[in-house]
Amino acid sequence: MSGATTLLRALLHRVGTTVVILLVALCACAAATIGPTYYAAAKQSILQDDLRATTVFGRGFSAVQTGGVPGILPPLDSGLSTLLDQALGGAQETDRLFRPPVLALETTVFFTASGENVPLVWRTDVCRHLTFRSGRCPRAQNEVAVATSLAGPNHWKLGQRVHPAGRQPLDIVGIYDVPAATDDYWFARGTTYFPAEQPTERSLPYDALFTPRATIDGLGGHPQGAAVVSRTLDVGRVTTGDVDTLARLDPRITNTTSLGQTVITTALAATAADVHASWSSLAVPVAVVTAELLVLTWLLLFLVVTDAVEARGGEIALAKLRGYGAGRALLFGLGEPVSLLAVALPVGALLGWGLTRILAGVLLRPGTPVDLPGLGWGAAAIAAVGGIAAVVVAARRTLTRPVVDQWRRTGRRAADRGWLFDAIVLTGTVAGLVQLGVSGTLQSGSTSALALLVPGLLGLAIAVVGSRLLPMLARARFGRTRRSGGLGGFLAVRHIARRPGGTRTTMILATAVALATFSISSWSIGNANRTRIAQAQVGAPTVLTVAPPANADLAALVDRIDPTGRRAVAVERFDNGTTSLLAVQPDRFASVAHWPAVFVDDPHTLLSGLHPAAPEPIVLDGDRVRLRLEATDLRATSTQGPPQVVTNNVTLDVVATGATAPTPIGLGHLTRGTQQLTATAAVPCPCTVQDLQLSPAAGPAQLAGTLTLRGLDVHTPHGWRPVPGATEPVRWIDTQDQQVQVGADPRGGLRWSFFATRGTPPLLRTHDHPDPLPAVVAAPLATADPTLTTSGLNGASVNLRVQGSPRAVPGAPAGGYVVDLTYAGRAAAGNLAPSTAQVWVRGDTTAVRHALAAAHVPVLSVDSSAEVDAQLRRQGPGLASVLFLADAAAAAVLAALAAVLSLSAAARRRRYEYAALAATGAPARTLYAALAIEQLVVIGFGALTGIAAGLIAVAIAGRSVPQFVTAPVTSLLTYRPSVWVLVGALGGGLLVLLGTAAIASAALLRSVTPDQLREAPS
Amino acid sequence: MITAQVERARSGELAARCDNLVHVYGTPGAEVAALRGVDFAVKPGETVALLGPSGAGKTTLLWHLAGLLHPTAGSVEVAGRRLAGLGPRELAAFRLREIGVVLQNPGRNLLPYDTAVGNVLFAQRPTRRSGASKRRRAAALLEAVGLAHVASRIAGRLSGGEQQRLAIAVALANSPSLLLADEPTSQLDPTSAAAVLELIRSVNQEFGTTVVAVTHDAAVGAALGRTVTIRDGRVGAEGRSGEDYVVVGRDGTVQLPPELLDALPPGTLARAVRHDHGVDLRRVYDPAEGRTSATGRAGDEPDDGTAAFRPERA
Repeated sequence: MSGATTLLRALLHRVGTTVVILLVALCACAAATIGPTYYAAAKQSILQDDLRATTVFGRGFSAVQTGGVPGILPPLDSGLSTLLDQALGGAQETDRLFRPPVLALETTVFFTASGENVPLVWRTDVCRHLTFRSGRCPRAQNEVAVATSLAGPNHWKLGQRVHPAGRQPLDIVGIYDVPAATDDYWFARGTTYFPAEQPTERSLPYDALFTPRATIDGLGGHPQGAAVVSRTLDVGRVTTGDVDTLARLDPRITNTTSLGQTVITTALAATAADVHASWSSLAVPVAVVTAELLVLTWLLLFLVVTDAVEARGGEIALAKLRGYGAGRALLFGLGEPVSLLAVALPVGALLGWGLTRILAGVLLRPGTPVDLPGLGWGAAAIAAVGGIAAVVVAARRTLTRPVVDQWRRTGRRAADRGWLFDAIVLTGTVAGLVQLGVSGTLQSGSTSALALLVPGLLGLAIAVVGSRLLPMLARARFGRTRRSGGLGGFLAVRHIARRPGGTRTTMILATAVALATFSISSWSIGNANRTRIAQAQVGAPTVLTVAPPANADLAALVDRIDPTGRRAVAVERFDNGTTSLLAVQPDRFASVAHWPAVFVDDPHTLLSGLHPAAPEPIVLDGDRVRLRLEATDLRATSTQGPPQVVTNNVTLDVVATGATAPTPIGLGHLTRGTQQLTATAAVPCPCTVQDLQLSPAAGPAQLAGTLTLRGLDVHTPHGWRPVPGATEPVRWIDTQDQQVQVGADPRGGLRWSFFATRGTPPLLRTHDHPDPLPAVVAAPLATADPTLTTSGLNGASVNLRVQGSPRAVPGAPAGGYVVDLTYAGRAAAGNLAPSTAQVWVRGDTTAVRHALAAAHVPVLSVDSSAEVDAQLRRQGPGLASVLFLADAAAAAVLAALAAVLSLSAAARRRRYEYAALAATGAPARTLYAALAIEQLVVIGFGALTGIAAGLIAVAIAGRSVPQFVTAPVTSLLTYRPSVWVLVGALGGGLLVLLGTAAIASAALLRSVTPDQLREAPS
Repeated sequence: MITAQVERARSGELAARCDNLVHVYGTPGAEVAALRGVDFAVKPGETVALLGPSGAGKTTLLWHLAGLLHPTAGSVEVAGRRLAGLGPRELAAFRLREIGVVLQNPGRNLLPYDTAVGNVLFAQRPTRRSGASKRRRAAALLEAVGLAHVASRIAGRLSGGEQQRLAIAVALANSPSLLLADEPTSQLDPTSAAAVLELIRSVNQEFGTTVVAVTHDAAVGAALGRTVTIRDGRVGAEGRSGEDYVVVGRDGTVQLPPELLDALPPGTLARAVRHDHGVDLRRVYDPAEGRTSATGRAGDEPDDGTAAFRPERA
């Protein structure tokens, strides 16, 4: 009790030292705790991010068995459940990890009237996922809900009974709006159920009829179809410990033979691999950063405890004098720092946990639990034990010094840190740097978390040399300050040169500042690059992937939504696996998309050439079409015999708005002479004319001739009307060779001369877009040849002419072609089904989304560059950089605090000297100047040395610090730290430090009076 | 405790003894001999004042008696134990048991942040006595030194005299047989100094503690039983019962008292003449006058130029 009381009194007696030791010890324990705790939380955050970011197959699986629908589902469902339970270790575990299964029975019914098959589907709880425009959820057998896209064209109404061929009639009890079908419930079956909105090459044209299970079970005959069981992970319940289990589950269920011909599709193993990759990218940096900070805090502890124990030398000598043995004297001498470390262990661990919670709140996925793992406690214990080792090493000299030496007032010499220590540190750091260099860690183009060791090693090496230089430089000024007569400078340089422990202060301050400089630099570089890559990958602040109705004009809709032209742009995108074609509204795209200066200086100028003038398409808008033409010369030749007159079928290929393919309108036979051909439009118009084609009835080897189009008319409710511009030569493509020649006929109309061979009938194509299309091409795709070919919006080849090649293209940084939306649509013959419709938005998306909803344009998905940026920051390298920054900043603050306290302690030991000087008449200002100069030089030198070391480390290892889990387009990355951030952080910190030192000096000198000379110096 | 001291005295065991003690301090570039063959003995229960000019080696001798220094040559025995033969642990235990030390600066003897009683307990901590016993002993000591009323006061807030008395109490915490005090009154006002001196005397009388005190203070010397004057690293003189004697060194050296130096100034040639009870030194050449004494014969009675050794009076 007495001992504890004495200890407590001693701690309070030296409250300043107590606080500093406690702070450093707390920092050591907290730093050690933060690493593992942060890592554990970050792993969970990464896991949740990756599970949510992956496709639905990455977080679940679907089992599909095709065949006769009746009776197919129960065995599939039960067999799959058994398989899962076996693989996961029981039903309880299955229920914990997976949501309840979603079952489905899918078949089709045929409607004679429309001539199309329509999906008929039962799906678990489907009505909860549908929005009914009218009616209700079908509950009884043979009741169905139909999509608005199906009801409209077929004029189906609520309550109507429809009659599929060969099946029971179905009663329409509800009409639903087609959902986005992007949530896990639909499990990527959207293209099966809603083909009208999400068409594929082989999909049916109409959206599904949803019905109760009894309807499908009661279908007569042997309806073919599929039973589907899909299960998705209950993502929120998946923990880091489940990842390996899920990785093992993948091959077990996909390779099972117990379910017959069932096809099970999943990407759980791939997700697990991605998660592990991201974890790995975080694990090494966390270990390196934690170790680096631990070593630094141990050094700090060594520094602080050395001074503290030295200050207690008299007491330790007293203990020895009173008969304390070596062990008891050690206990007494180290009692204070060790007890502080004992306190720091739990408090520091909890502090680290609290700080991690704060960090996690800012950096990790919202809601990520932050627990203090056993490893965190263990790390704190290691920090404490290391701290005790540092304390023992620091106190060894004092504890082993003879009692009599303690009483001698000789003090320690400034050079008490031997050259041997410096040599060991230098050798170790240089060896470490060489090893990093030899191992390839610092090679250009490669990244490794071990690069984070460079600033510590380099900073320490430079700091060791620098700390030796400072006293030498100060000694070099001895003569000058002696001659100049100024007492302030005279005292300052001597105190710097001779101050005990001064070199240690410089060394630790320089090392900590080097770490801080490097961490700030790599953090700012990483952030800039992550933002740049996120913007480049997404393309705009927000990208809405939409499913416009078949007859919708997305560009016109966007024009209405955003009259300013600066907030939204319509984009059609086709990805062929290696490159992407972005068909855009050029001026809007220049304003809305992310165009950082590193891409191009002026995007408006760059994109201005994408929309040169071109004729408008020839549009038919009526129920019948009439072609008036005159065949003045029509010759067919064969390899045997003379030219002969043949009969030709005349076909006008037209594309209805929203149609995926041209529809031929047969106009009848053409013979020589003037003719008037009339046909009923086979598709709902308005339609765009694509071409006019002649098809010889027989197969001549060659066909040549000249036709004169006198007019093209459409029949409207007001009678026949000529199609404007249909006979203007500019509206048709003249290939400038003998195959197709067009020109104006002197008597009015269009003269078309042609020459065709077998297999390639005469074809006159309309001219409504430039060919090749003007394009802006990402620099990596640009070649010496200004023309190139890629996939158009319809998947077919399209020719492009390069107008410009920025370093990257928003949305497709390394593989993007940007063309005009209107012309790209015309080049694709209006077939935009293979492409993806998007609306890119800058600013608030709410209004745009409301407008899209009002226009019945569902938003399938939303991508935001800010969210991608945040996700990149939440990946391993991003999280590691923040941890490194926080740790290094804390270390720098502590080192600075220790430096100020060390300087103050040194000055305090000189109070007697200052009092003597004051008694001899030295002005207070002079004494203050002496102290201020000393602190300015020591702190400034340490800080500048550290900054220099940090910047050198950035130059050497900046490129090697991992910034991404997956390497992005390196040409977009910058490796220059933000000067403003560096100047702001380091300059501000230095000013605060010097200000603190100045205040401490002033406070100290205010307490210096000649009266102190009456006291015996202790 | 008194009995133990008396028994030691009867058995002829000395409380402390230095035998040809030599101590050389090694400093960079030079070696300084602080003690040059000191022979010194203290009987149990004796009180001895070590006198001498600054730098003479008094404190070095005291530190040797405390076992804080290793002799360059010679030996130191305390309570019959040769200190150089003790290992660090034995020495610490021996010091705990046998030696109490009071340092020159009162504050240096104490933990300034602990209470008066806490300081006494601090000194007792290594012993194996029970806590209650330690507290009783501490209370008794504080009572004995007149500090019972400030037992719970922080030591750093006591006056100089109180701190020195507390330092003595701390030094006596474990009932040492030998109390070593370095300038116990040097920084005290006369009243406090007298009180401390009285305390030392009473400790000696009451507990039978042998006391060796380094001092410049003549009053301290007068108050203690014997004075030993150290000059230039040697025992130069000894005073008993108010009379001073020179001490013949092991090598025959004799340090004359300063007041006789005018009779035999440095450089004097003197003739040593044996008597039945000693030796007379008679000046035969005076370097100041540059002449030889006319009466430089053996057997003459000493005049003002003669120093005589009377061993029978020692």
